[in-house]
Amino acid sequence: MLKIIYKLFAYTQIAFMCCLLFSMHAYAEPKVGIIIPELRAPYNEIYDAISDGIDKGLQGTPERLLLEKDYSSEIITDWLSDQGIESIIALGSLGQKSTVYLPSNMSVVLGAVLSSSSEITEYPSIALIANPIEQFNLLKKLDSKRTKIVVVYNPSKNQWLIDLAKQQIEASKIQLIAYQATDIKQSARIYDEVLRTENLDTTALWIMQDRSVVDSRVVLPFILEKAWQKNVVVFSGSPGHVKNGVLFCLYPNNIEHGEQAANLLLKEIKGFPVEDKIYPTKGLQKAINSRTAEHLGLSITRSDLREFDLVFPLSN
Amino acid sequence: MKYLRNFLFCLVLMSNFVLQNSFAEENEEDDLYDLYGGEQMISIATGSEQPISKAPAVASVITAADIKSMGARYLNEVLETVPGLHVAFSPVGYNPIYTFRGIYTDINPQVLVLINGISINELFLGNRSQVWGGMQVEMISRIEIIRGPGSAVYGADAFAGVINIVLKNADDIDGTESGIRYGSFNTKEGWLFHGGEYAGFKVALMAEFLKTDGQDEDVDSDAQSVVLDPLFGTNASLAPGPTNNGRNNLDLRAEIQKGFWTLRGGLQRRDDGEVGFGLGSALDDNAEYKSDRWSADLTYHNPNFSEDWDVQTQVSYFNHSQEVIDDTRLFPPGAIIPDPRDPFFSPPLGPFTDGVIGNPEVWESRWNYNFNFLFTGIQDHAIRFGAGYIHSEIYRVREQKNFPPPDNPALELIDVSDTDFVFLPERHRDNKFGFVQDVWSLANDWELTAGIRYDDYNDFGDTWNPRAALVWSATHDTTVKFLYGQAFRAPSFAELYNQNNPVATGNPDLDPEEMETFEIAFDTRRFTGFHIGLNLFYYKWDDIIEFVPVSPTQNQAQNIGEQKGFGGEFEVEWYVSNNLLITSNYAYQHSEDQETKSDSGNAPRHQAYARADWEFLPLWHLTPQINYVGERGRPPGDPRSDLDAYTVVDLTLRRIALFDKWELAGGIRNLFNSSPEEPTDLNLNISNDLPLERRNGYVELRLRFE
Repeated sequence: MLKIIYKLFAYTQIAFMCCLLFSMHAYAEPKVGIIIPELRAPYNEIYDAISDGIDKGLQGTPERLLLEKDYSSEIITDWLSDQGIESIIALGSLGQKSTVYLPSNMSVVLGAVLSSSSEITEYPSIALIANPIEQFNLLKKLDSKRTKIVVVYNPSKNQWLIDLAKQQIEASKIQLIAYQATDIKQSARIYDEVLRTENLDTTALWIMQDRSVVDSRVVLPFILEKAWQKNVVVFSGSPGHVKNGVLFCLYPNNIEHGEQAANLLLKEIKGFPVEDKIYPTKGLQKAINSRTAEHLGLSITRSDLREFDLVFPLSN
Repeated sequence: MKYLRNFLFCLVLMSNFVLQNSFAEENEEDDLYDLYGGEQMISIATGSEQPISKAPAVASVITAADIKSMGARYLNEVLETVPGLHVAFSPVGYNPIYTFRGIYTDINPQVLVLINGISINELFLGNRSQVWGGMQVEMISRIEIIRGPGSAVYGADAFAGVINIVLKNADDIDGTESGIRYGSFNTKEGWLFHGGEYAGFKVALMAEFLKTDGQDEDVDSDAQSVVLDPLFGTNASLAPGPTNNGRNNLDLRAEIQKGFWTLRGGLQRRDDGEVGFGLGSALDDNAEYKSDRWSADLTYHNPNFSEDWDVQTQVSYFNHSQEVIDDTRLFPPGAIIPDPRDPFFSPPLGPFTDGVIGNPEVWESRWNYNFNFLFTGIQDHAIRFGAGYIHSEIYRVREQKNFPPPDNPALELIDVSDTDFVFLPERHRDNKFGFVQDVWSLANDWELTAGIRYDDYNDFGDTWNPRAALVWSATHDTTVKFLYGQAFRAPSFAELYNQNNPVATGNPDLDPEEMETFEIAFDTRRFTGFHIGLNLFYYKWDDIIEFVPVSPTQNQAQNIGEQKGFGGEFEVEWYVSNNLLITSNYAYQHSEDQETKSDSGNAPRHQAYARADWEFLPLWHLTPQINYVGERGRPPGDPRSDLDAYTVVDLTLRRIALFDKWELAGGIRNLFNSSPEEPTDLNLNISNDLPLERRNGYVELRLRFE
């Protein structure tokens, strides 16, 4: 009997020690800081929401550094030493550029990486761009006959996204035709050629959020006009595009984006392997243009529409 | 025109400067702008601005951001920027006359004004009451304006147009907002709002006040100086002299929301309200009024009640008073007036040492129960139907006066409340209604909306009002709408039951006024940053209610007039760059009185407006705006020459995010000190027109924290 009691006591001790060790490990985690570009309203709401998501992911409130456009490197180095920051989530292109002033042994994750700045990077990054397969799945749900997807992209900025897309559609019946372009002129020519094709019944156009290949003043209006005439589905990652006639988009849920960045940093800190350098954002919201859907003859019920976070057109 | 020239020159300079600046370098904000497709999209996608559903009629939506940008402080200033809507003013208290497309009357009951969907039109006169006192705009989340009839949806009074004011809720406020403002005419304003979530309840609390001496432009003459003084050889008139527009406003609002339930309550108190030009069209520096508008509603709205059903039901209460604080001098001390009982043969009365005093007071209430279903279980159809019951009541009428009837040889102030001599009996009105509307997707790119509403009134019978709208998505960026609608206006209690008032006696046999409108609307939105809208309309207004002579000594309300009109509105919105938006519009209307075949008068034929929202440096906003109101013809029988056009230029400068949470702004209204005037009714014996405010300004400080 005494032996049993002794054993029970010993196990409890071991369990207690394990808990202590675990909590010591938790306390031992490096202090996290967030570098946030200082922007005016409403742009700041995006980074505010991402920061809230990081808090949620880390289950705490890390130190924040609001970085002005004309910051000096001392601001960063002083902040790091004053606050004892040991690992960083840097947001946006300004945050990304500021990482050159970080010590090389620091765990760093880049969040809110934008298309025009994704040519970097030595740190694991999360782009404010949806995983292409998520977009393809939504396309399939809305209009299953569109099996051929055409995209024009700038290889210096979005090659990683195209590689990811190709890799993920291998097992599906989707055919991805990706054209490379380095400027608007080249891209416009490609779109013109594609949209001259006689039969586009099974084609959908995937529009990149990259102003080097698609601008909203010339190329996109041209695409939308021709697509309307030829009943071609167009999708993208920008709610503004949907407002103007693109059928649907998947755009970031900023809080979930922040959580994803926090989880990636934790993974990095704990030494788990981080496979890719740049990831698409996981948390997504959906927008649809019901006017375009009606024009295309898609039967979208009211309950289908309820699944979307934004339904256009709005009245203003 | 020189203002217009100066303004356009400034715009060209600004746009050159802006284009040079905005494309100078690519930055973070540009990337986010591209990602979301504009600042408004960022606000919508991040949830700080609520998207607005597709409006069925020709509607303008003005958001809180628009209001702030234009530097507007009051509802009237915002509404004046809407194409096809001109805000004129009544001599009584300078109350606004919302003139949609040439439909102008002194009392203005033809326009339905709602706050959070609840009408604030009163039963007595059918308008916002003689003690409206205007409304500040800080509480407003957005204003939806429908030009043309809306009776098939909104019922009575949605006749010439509908103005629905949607107030901020907890999500809109999301923290604490406060501000103070000081301006010309000794105007002091302040507001404090809080919105947040507590124990699962979303709570919004708002308080806003205003205290002003009001503008005090001089008028040369009034009804006393033009008619009574010459007639009886007196010198009683206060003209030439200033109009009186002081008032105190207090607005309180509370909203609690949980799940599908929303409970709201509010008070709009107008106190020490002066009477502008005077109730009798004679300057009165003594009268002061008070008005309380209490409102409450409980709403259940479940958009996903079941697979195919959206259900809403609401019960609301509205209570309104018109109370006299200081005696109303219809005519000033020393005045002599004809005996109202027999003006031609009885000897005149007076002189009245304290002035001719009439103090009309009214209290009324309204209960409204309604339900509204949307059924989408049939492919290509969205069927909305509902019904409701409204009980309105003038439950208390009080009046003091010092002139007959009844016989009052000493001309003393006597209380005639609860006697046959009071100006209005206490009455009630019951209105039952039902409606059905179907939005039918006829074919790709074609959508037909057809609806009809039935209203039954206990006091003047029933009415059916249909509407139809055919919407064609002509190209990827152009929509064409064809609209037809009918509307009615229920006669007000003053028009039905006024008594002991020889110039405005009621008539219980009145029919409602009727309106029929055809419209065609084009809307195109280009990526180049252009949004262009064009509406063309034709309307016919029948059974117009007017007070007309039925005997040498009596005017009575009659269904007598008919008016036809046509015109159009043209709007352009141009995003010149990320930091410059130009909004402009032009409206034309031609309205004709069918009896005389001449201009029905008082409304501008031409109206133009332009505004530039320009962020000229980071966090610095400059907003110039110009408003042109064309000549206004006189109504038939008014021999005065047409009222001159006027142009007003305003300028607002704002610095946002000052020390993070603060905001500082200053504005100048009527920058070039023009002399705008609005028409008066010659039947009210006013020969000159109403002067509006000259150059004035304000400074404001805001603080916002979460």
